[in-house]
Amino acid sequence: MVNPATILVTGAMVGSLYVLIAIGFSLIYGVRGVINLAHGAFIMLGAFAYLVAGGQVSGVAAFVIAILFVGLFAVGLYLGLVRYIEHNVVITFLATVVVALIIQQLLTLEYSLAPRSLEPIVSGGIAFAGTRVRYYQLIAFALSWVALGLLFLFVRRTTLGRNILATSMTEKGAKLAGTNVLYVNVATWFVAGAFAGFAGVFIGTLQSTSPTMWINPLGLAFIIVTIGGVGSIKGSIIAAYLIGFLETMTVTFVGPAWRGMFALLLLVVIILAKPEGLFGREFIE
Amino acid sequence: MPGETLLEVDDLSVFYGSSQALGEVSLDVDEGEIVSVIGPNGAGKTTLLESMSGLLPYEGSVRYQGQEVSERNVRALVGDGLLHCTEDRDLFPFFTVHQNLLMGGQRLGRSEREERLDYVYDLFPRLDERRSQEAETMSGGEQQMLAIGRALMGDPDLLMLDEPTQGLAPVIIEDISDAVEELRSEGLTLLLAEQNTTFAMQHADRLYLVETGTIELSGTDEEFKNNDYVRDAYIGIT
Repeated sequence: MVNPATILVTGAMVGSLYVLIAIGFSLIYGVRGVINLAHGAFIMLGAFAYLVAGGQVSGVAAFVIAILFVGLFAVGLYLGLVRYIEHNVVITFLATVVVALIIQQLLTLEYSLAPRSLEPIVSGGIAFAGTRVRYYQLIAFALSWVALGLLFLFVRRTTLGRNILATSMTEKGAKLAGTNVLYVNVATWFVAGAFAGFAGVFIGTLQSTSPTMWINPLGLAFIIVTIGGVGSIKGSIIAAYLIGFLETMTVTFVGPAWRGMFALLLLVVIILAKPEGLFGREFIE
Repeated sequence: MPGETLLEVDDLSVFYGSSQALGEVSLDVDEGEIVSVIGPNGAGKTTLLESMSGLLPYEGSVRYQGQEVSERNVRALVGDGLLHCTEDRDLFPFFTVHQNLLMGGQRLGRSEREERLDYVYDLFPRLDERRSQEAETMSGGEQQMLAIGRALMGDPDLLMLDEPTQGLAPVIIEDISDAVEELRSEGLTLLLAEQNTTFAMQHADRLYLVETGTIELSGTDEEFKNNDYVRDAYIGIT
């Protein structure tokens, strides 16, 4: 007999991780209209940054370093490349894939393709609702909500956040109202990168860290953002949890091999029935 | 009385790829006057205003307050008091009226921003009644008032309005007209781009007629009213 509480707890844990995976992708898509296919590579860089820093400093410090490193890397990618090509969707699409492939090659040269496991920030776990939950899963769940809360406060309460929202609605209008659009873009890429770095640390810990680990999170981010609605943070959060619960139920009732199948079916249904996604383009509501 | 020249345009040409939208346009706007650019749809009025506010690259010279526009970005020009209300209004659709206005006044200090808010709400009482309403849910006329209000929040020295009466009901045009006269009485310099020739001639001290990307005629409002071509082609009085 399956305990529904087990599905609830596991689904929530998976969903919280998927939120982290999708939020940066959604943010850049929503504010800039840029489909950043290097997003999966950002997540991978977060895992590797944590791996490298973890050998030198404490787990918590390595976690912070990974977040900052990916945030700054994202800003560098924007300033060094994307800002010059972002008005051409196809070129941006191709260029960000190439960036991801270059990062994959460089990491392969340095670390080989062998998967590595990351040392969790906190080891151990507790039995809860008929399942065993590891402490770092609980930390990922709690911190993802803290990070989302901070993101909401940032866009709602700060001048820069309001400018990000405004620019997501109309860049021309924002310029004519005196917004520093370059500053807005840099901040957006930093926040998106930081969320990806955050996700990378926990994905690398829960699964494995290797130079090919960027593909699955990228596909997942794409599915979540399409289901939730392009540019809608609220939509991304709901879609991430929806897929988290769907996958957990699939694994429980059908089998692990079918894990991603129903998320893809849901994607097809949404594309056919509501192509704009569950929440359309409303950004942060 | 008009003061010093605020905006000088010399031999301005604008290209979209290989297609020329404006050819060697020259005009000027003096402090305290209302100048209007009239012409049919597609004549180049919007291109002219967008190049003046730094949104489009151009050839030739556009000097605002004596400095070349292309040497500054849009934000710097806004900071120097050059505010542009576009034809599409470019409001923030999911922001309320109040939030849109605050965005327009973001460069100002708190007390100055509060003063400007009071000023805009006095000028457009409809906006005051709809402070908490999202811009996208407002009527076209209200959105136009909000677009002008947001630009006024930037404390302009030169306010450029692109088609401020387009698609609006006569009663709303009257409200916009009253606001333009109020702004004139305060000495604000205005540049209007209008297809509505009657509205333009009602307010402008001087006018330019733009057709197919070039200036075909310039003069005072009286000269325009007495010009046979303008009367035949744009006013419909013979």
